[in-house]
Amino acid sequence: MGLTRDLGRRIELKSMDPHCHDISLGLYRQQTVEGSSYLVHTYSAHEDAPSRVSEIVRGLVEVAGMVSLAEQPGLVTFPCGGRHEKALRRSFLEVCKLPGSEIGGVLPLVRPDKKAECELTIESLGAGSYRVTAPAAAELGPRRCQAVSRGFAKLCEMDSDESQPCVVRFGCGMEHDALMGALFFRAQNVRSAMQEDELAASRGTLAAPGSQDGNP
Amino acid sequence: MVVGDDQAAAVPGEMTSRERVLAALAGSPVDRTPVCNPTSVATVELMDLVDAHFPDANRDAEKMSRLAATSYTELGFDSVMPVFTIIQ
Repeated sequence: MGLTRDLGRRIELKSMDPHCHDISLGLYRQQTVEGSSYLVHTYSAHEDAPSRVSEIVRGLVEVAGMVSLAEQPGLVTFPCGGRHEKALRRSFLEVCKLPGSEIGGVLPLVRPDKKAECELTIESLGAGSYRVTAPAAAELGPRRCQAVSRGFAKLCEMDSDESQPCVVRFGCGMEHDALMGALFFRAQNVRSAMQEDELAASRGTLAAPGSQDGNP
Repeated sequence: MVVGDDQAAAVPGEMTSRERVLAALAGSPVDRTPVCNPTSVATVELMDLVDAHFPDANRDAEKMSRLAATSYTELGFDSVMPVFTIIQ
């Protein structure tokens, strides 16, 4: 009788994709022999839905550095086999914001930073560790490097060390350059990312007329 | 609405949803705990599943019933609330 499928645990949902007829897109976690794998799925039967799902999967591969499972088409996983789900959820939502024509390519590890008035660089130190650096001449560089590092720690659930405030590390100990590039601009302004999350979480919440904005 | 297990009676599956809910409301034995939602049930995924989206499902009777039915067919609720009236 039911049409819904057991797709695993849904860890994120794009409720209305503006680039594909407002279909919903879910990101599901499944356990495979390779570890945790992830599936992008929509229950929409719209004719454009399959291609949109493919675009999102391609985005997760090309932008977030995931890999497709050869034996199980449609499933992707991190090369380390780990979860990194907070970062993955954020990456999924960021990819969903883009039309198919704009999805693709690893984002750079160098970005201009308005607050520091210079470029910030993410250096890979190996074993999953990364340092955020700024030119020596940038007066606000060190402070912004620490702030961006904290941003990464929050967004990607990375480990940080008080003795090295500009260094963060993935718990798996593996490189995730693409993921760092994908979330770099978010790490530069974590507050807006958190506000966006709160807004998305509250969307669709029914409220009594008397407690709604603009009502006397 | 959930009824405690101490009211469980016969073999699960012996009662229809209607029988189960009415029995629970009457304080009579039930085959399993009924699960009802007196308000409407609608998610974006269910809307995609049966191609009955808001706001059309608020106004079109056929879409409204198709979406409302999913609370039973997909989620296994013992109730269906057939009307969506979201006032915002």
